[in-house]
Amino acid sequence: MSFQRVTHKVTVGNAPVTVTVNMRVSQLQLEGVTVSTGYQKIDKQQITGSATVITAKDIQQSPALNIMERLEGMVPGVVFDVRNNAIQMRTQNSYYGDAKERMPLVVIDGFPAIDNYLTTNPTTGLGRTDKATNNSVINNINPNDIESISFLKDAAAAAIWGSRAANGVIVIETKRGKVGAPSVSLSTAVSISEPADLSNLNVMSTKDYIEFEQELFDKNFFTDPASHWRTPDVSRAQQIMFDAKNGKITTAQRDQLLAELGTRNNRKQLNDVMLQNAVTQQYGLSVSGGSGNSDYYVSGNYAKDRPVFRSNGTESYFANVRVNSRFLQNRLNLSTYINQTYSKSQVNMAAMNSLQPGQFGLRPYEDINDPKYLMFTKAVTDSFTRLGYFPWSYNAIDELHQSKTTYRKNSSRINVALTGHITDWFSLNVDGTYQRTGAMVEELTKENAYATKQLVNEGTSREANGRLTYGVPKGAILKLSNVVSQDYTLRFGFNFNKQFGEHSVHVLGGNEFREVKSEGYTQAHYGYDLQTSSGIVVNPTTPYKTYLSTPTVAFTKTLGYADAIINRPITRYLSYYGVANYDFKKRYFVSGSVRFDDYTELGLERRQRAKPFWSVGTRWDLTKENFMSSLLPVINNAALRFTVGTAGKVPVGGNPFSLYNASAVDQYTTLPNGTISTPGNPDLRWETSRTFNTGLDLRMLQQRLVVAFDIYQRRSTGILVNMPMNPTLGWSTIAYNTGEMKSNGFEVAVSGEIIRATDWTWSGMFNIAYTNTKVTDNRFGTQAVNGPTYVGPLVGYPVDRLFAYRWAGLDERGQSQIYNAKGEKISSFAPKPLTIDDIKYVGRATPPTTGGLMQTLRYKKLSLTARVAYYLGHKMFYDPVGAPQLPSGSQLSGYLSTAKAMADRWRQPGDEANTNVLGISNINFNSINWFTTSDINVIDADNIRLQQVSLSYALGSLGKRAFVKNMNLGVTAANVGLIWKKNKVGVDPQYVFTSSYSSLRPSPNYNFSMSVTF
Amino acid sequence: MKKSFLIYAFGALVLIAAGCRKYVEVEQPGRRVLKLTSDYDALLNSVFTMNYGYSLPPVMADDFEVTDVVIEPRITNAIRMAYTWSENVYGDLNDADWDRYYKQIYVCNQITDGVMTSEGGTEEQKRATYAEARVFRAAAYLDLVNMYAKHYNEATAATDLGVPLVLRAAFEGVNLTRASVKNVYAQIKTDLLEAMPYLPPQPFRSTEASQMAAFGLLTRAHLYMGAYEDARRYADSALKRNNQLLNLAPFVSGTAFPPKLSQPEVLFLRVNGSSSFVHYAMSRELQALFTPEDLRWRVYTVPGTNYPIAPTFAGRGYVGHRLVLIDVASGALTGPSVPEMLLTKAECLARDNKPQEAIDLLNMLRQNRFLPAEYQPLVATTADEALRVTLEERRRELMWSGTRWFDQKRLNQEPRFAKTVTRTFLGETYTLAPNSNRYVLPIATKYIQLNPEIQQNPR
Repeated sequence: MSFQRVTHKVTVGNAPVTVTVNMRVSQLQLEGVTVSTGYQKIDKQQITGSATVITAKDIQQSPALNIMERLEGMVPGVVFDVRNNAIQMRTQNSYYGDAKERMPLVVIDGFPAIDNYLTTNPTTGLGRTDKATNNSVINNINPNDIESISFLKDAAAAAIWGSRAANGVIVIETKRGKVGAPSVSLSTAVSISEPADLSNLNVMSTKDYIEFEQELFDKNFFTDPASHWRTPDVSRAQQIMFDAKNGKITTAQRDQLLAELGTRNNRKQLNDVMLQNAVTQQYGLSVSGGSGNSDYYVSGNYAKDRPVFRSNGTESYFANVRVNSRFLQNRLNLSTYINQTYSKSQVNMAAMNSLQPGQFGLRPYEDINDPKYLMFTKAVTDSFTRLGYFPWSYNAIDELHQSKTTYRKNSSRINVALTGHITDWFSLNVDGTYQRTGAMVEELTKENAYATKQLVNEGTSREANGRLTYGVPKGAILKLSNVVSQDYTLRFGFNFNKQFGEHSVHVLGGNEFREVKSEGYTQAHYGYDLQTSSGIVVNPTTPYKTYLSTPTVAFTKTLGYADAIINRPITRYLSYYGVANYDFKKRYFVSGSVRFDDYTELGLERRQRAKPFWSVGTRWDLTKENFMSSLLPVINNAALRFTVGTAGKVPVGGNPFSLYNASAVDQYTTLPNGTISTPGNPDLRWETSRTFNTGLDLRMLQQRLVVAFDIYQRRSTGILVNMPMNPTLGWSTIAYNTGEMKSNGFEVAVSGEIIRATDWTWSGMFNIAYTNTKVTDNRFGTQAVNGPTYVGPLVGYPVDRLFAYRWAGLDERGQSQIYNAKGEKISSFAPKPLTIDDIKYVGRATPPTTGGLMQTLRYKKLSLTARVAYYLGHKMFYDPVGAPQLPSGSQLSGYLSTAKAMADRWRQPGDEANTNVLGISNINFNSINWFTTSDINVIDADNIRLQQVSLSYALGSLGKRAFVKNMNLGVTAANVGLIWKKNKVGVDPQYVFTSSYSSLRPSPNYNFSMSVTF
Repeated sequence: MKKSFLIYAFGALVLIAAGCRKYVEVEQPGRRVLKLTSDYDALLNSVFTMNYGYSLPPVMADDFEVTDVVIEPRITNAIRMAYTWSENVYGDLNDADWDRYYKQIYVCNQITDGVMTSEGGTEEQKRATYAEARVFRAAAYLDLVNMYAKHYNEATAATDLGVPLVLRAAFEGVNLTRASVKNVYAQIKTDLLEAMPYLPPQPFRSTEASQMAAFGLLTRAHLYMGAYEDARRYADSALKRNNQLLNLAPFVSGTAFPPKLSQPEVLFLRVNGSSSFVHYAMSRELQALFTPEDLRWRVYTVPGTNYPIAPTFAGRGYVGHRLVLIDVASGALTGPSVPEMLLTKAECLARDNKPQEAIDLLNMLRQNRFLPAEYQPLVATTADEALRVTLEERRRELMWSGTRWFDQKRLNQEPRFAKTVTRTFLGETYTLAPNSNRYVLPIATKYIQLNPEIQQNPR
């Protein structure tokens, strides 16, 4: 909080008296928006760099469940990939790295967040199980507590946050209390959506599926379960076919039975039994206020999320306390912030598995109530049961209750900031933050869960007297994993802020220590009893007899798990930073920043480990110049901005010395063992980039139209490239700093009030961003290629290049052929080494043009908002057949590919004239790979989506005396759908068919919200 | 007063911080620059990296035969190509066997380059680790030279192309030209013999290098070189350190088979590296060599219809390596063993015209391979007969270890043992003539594109 000394001349009687009053500037009086860099807050009108600010009001206007969804399309140049929980700011500045490595740095109230995500999917990245999404999402920060989010996009931002900010910075400021009477605010929201419509799955009919099985049957793909007791069971349709073949039924009977089977369809049943309406509830309460020397903001929030898959759910709790206190005539300011988050989420895969190909998936004609026999036929399974084994069958409905994985995450964050104002222009500060996150995964599979039955039955042998010996203890299996992460930062800084006549100077600097460490371990308990919470101690390396053992021959097995690992990674950071801002007459602004980062990185000398980064910027407020005065009635404000700065990344993934990585002690040999994780390579240095950003800010027509325009160029050098190495030297790739690339782009954001009347307003926001990248140097000779998806970065092409094979149709065996550069057809049975010339460039894999549009129409207290996001100009591969489920060598059992296109497959010689869909005999890896990555399956991915439509009713202020001071009601529809797509194959580019439910576009989500302030 | 205190306090903190780059140089548990002697030693203990070997030789050998159509579509590309002795085996892809061995060689070279100057170990420990690394390196080269080069022939070995001999861990300035077969063998012998004095006679675990492992490898190398006198001498040295045999009798009455680490016969635990190839179907020719009483037949093989991995098949399958399903390493044992030493010694004796001594050794082995009631000693009167009987016993005893492929290569050089192999797969018939170029695996095209100085084998 800043103080302003205001001098008033007051006349007392006849004598003028000068009274100096210390006034505290109220936040409400600050004009415009402030940008927070995490170290300082700057008026948007004074900033030299490129930044977008999303305010609490903007966030509230878009009441989606997920904070990422609320932001999608709102920030020019920032792409929020809600489905993959990734954020991409401007362009990538490296060749490799996954979405996680390209995430911008997230700073909350001045300190980097412990994990760089705005939301977390509870089922990923938490421990031993890495399962697919269950659709639940936990916001890592409560959207209701956010005051503002600043997106810092250029080098001015990167330089101040150093080596971790090469991908941009997101700075979140949380709400603070305001001096005054306590204000209590209550908010609640409920949202409901139906399961996605299974009839939208692009699958073949039951009849076609049976016909598909028939073809495989005729071509001897299946083994008759009657041939041996250990032959796995086959589908109902296949059983009918075997019965006919074995003469048990006549051909006519077979056809009749199959025809009857062909009329069945279990979609409705699956929908009714395995899916449910998704319901999310959120309740929030906040109290804020303050008086005299302190203010406070206290809030609590509870959210419950029930996804479409049954037996899944997430609950989360937030609590925040923020207190600011001023002591010693306001010279000492203490700010304390405590945040506690707890979330619990339960995952069960049964519903999801029943809807996707694989051994647990249901064939279109199967009844979900019927047990599935996965190991043996029913008769063999029953005889095992009679011997005392657990029933060796699977039922998806039972499975909903037999296993669950619980993820618990408990995180606390404490910030303490102490600022001492030595004079009114100089202060010193000591800030500290401590974060602790405990993540616990509890994977329980009960005694009757299929996985447990499978393990126990397999470890059960029968002795000569008929008695059963259990090698694996009977009972449930409980696997636990626990990770505790701790992160502290301590910062010592100074702040100098003084006006010298028309010059004003603001300098701040300091240093920072940070330590991030974590500790994690796993445990497995077999024979676990839920009543007594105890398991049986087992030796994982002792062999036990399996069910295949006979009184004469013993087949044995060990459990073979390794629990003795305790992970304790630790990283420390040391930084020095400085920022200076200078302005003359609030007309010419100059800013500069410098930061030096050092951190724990093995194998690097001090000299190579740390590198200073800097930025400088200027801003010229044109409207303060005389020559602009005539334009003032139209252009209220115009400013030109320019920044240049550097950023860099330490070469992780390469080291001058070979790094030794100790592995867990081998359970069998009991010997300590290790591997070389990174080979020594003395030529490594930093990846660096230099960014130029120029911008123009315009405010026109009584501030009704606001335009911001930014154009930037970035040059990255010394990019680490994984050079292919001859494996004869021990490694197949080695990282070298040989890459160079350029990227550029522009962003335009326009917002304005089109109609501004007492009863009516029409306001809107539109933004567009364009990015382009080009590889300018890459010595990696990409001559030999192993397919379009393995092409390395190529000089002259964008980094996100997409290449494809040239399709040459099917051959007379129904398998793929491609053309090489000379136009010769190549058969999948006789592949030849290909070079880069043999494949073709088809476009970029990420959208070059992105943006959003938001329109709000208000009539009195009612307003209607619609938000659109668009992604244009990119290409993608579309796999019409569900290639991973094609019957190849390893995939012959279970639920086969049901892709609709498979109904048009090649069946006999001659069909190649009419179809491009592979036949199933002679299928081979090359053929599948060529088909899925050839030019016939490249589609335009351009799409425009209506993200959200919301209607809200703001009761507004009901007067100071009224009990209820303010009230808002809202209804929102999210995921409303696709407005336009460019491709003609009927594919939503964000939800490409992969044969399973998870690829279906979610149904619209309806959200009802209410907030009341007392 | 307060003001100055704050300034002093701040100034002091800045000074402390300035000298604090050490702050970030914190030790990481389990992750560091390779420097401790114990780190170098631990590199050799990574079973997954160091003890897995070839996968293709057992597929190409005549012990394996696919007779049931059920398995045919389940065989992956490289295995299919190897099984039919195709011209091109790996397509555009890496050669997993080659990569595995050269990774082991890289690790060994890291050790031989650095262990002597490492920290925290005694001179004795360093020399022991150095010696062990040379045994692992020799083991890798012995397999490589037999897979990718013509069989050792004293007359042409100095000019026959072997494999690139990489003896230091570096990425630049390494000569990848293929060394001659003779030089590769010379390096193997030098490594093993120079390492010998520093090795323990017996290891703590059979996954580790020891004198018995080194003598086992020397025996194998000299047998392949046709140096029968030396081979016999080295076999004796190996047997002096370990001559235990595992009597198979208890395992037909329900006793659980010992896990690999507890098998007394193993001199050096090395296993087949394939993970995708799982159906070890026995050729009809191999099946015909067994009598039903043979315990190896009863313990190590099962009817295909009872094979532990789906789908089951017609015929008979080898399960010796699967008797303990999850073990220190999966895959069939491929390293030197006590029976191999006995069989090599017997072969050398037979070739030295000592038939009775040879047969006595075989019978010593066979007493552990039959129930006492069913045991019948072998007899042979002439040296030729003894040799024939020995080779037959060798084939039975070492089935599915992959050495059969190298024996085929080796024996083809003697016209009396030369043999043409034919097999039918997916309706086509393939023939492998004695001494055919197809006995020498090609080098992956990819590697030659990266380093054209590596010469390709004629196919």
